[in-house]
Amino acid sequence: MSTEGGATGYIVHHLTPLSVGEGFWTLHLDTLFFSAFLGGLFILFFKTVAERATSGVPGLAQNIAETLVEFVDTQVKDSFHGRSPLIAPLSLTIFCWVFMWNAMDMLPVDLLPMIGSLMGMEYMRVVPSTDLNGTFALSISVFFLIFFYSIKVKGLLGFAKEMTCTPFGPKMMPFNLLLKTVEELAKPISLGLRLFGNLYAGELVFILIALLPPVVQPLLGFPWAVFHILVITLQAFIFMVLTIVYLSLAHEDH
Amino acid sequence: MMQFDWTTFILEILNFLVLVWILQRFLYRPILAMLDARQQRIQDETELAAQLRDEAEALRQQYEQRLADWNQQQETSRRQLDEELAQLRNTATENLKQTLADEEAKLRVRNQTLITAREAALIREAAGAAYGQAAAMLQRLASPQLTQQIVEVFLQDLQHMPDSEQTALRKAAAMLIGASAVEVLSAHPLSETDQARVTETLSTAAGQALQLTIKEDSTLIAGLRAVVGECQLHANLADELAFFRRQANHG
Repeated sequence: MSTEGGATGYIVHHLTPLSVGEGFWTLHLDTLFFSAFLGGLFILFFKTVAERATSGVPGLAQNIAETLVEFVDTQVKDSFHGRSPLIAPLSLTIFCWVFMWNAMDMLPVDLLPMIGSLMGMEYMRVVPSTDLNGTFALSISVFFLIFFYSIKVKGLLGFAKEMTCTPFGPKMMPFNLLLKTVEELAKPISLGLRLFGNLYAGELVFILIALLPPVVQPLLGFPWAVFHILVITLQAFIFMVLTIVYLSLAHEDH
Repeated sequence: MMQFDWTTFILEILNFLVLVWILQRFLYRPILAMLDARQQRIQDETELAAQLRDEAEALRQQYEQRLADWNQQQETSRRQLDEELAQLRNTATENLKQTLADEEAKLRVRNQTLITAREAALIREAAGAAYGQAAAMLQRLASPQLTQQIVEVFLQDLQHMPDSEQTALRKAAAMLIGASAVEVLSAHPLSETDQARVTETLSTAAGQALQLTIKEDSTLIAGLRAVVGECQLHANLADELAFFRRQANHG
C-alpha cells in the first residue's frame, strides 16, 4: 500500500483512471485497454473452442463454453419471447464480458498499479466496470438496441404511438410521452449505474481493506473476496437478464 | 474519478459492438451447431438405447413366458408322473394283494392237504394199531373150532353165492389146466369130513369136479383161503383184517 498522501491520497490514486487528452477527446487508456484485452480473451477463448469443437466427449474449455452458452440460451428462452438471432450472442457477450470486467476486482488492488508504476504509468484503474464510460457504453448500446428493435417490430408509427398513447391514452399524449421518455431513459441509466455502483463500492472496500494493517487484511479481505465472487457474478447476470427483458419488451407489440 | 468522456464511451461502444459482431458472426453458430450435433447424437443414442431397452424388455418377457411355459409343462409332467406312479403303485399293490391271496390260498390248500395227509396217516396209524391189536386179539382167540365155524360159514356162502361171482368162479375153474391146481389153505387142520364137504361144495359152485390140495397156513389165524386159478375165495381172519386195513388206508 502506498502511504503517500495518506489514506485519501491512496484511495484517490487507485480510483483515478489513466487518461490522456482533454475534453471530448479524453481517453481512459486503462479502461479501454483492459476492456479490449478481456474482450480479446473472450473472443480467443470462444475461437479456440469453436475451432476444436467436437460433438463427442468435450474438453475442459469446451465444457465451460457449452455451459455458458446453454446457461445464456436458457435465460434467453425463458425471458425473451421474440425471434432474434442476435439476442443470444449479445447476452452471452454481455454476461462474459461484464463478468471478466468484474473479475478484475479479485486481483490484489496494488498488483497491477504497481506494475504500471514500474512501467511509468502514474494511475491505473484495472476494473473497467468501475468506469462510468464502460458501464454506460454497454447500457446505452442496449438502449439503442431497444429503440432499434422497437421500431423494427412495431414500426415507426407503432413505436411513436406507444411512446405517446400509453399508458393513459391519446388525450394525455404529452404526459404519456414524458412518462415513457423517463421510463425508457431510466433503463440504461439504472442498468449502467447499478453495475458501476456495485463494482465501484466493491473496489472501494478492497482499497479500504488494503489500508488496514497487514495482519488484519486477510481477516477482512478473504471474506469480502468470497462475497465479492457472488457480487461480480450476480451483477453480470443481472445486467444480462435485464438486457434480455428489455429487448423482449421491445419485441412485444401492444 | 467519475468523469464521463465521450471518446472513451464511444470507443467502448465500438468495442462492445465488435465483440458481439465477432461472436455472433463467427463463433456462436459453430458452438450452437456442435451443441445441436451433440443433442442430436444424444437423442439418437437415447432412441437407440430405448430401442435396445424395448428389445431387451421384449426378450425378457419372451423368456419369462418361456419359463412360465416350461414351469407349466414341468408341473404337467410331474402331475402325469405322479398319476402314472400312483397307477403303477395301485397296480403293483393289487398284484401283490392278488399274489398274497394266491399264496394264501395255496398255503391254505397245502395246509389242508397236509392236515388231510396227517389225518390219513393218523387213521392209517390208528388202523394199523387197530389191525395189530385185532390181529393179536384174534390170534389169541384163534382155534380149530373157530376155523370149523368159519368153514361152515364159507360153505354156506358158496351155496348162496351171487351169480356174478359164481360165473367168475366157474370161468376161473374152466381155465384151469388140471383140476389139481386148486389150492386150499387152512389155518388149522381140517377134518376128513370138512375136507370132503369143502371139495364137494366148491366143485358144485365151480360147476366141475375139482381136486383140492389142502395145506395148513397159520398166518391165516383162523379160517381158510381157496385159490381157483385167478379167483381167490377168502374166508379167514388174516385176509379180513388185511381187507379192513386196506379199507382204512384208502379211506
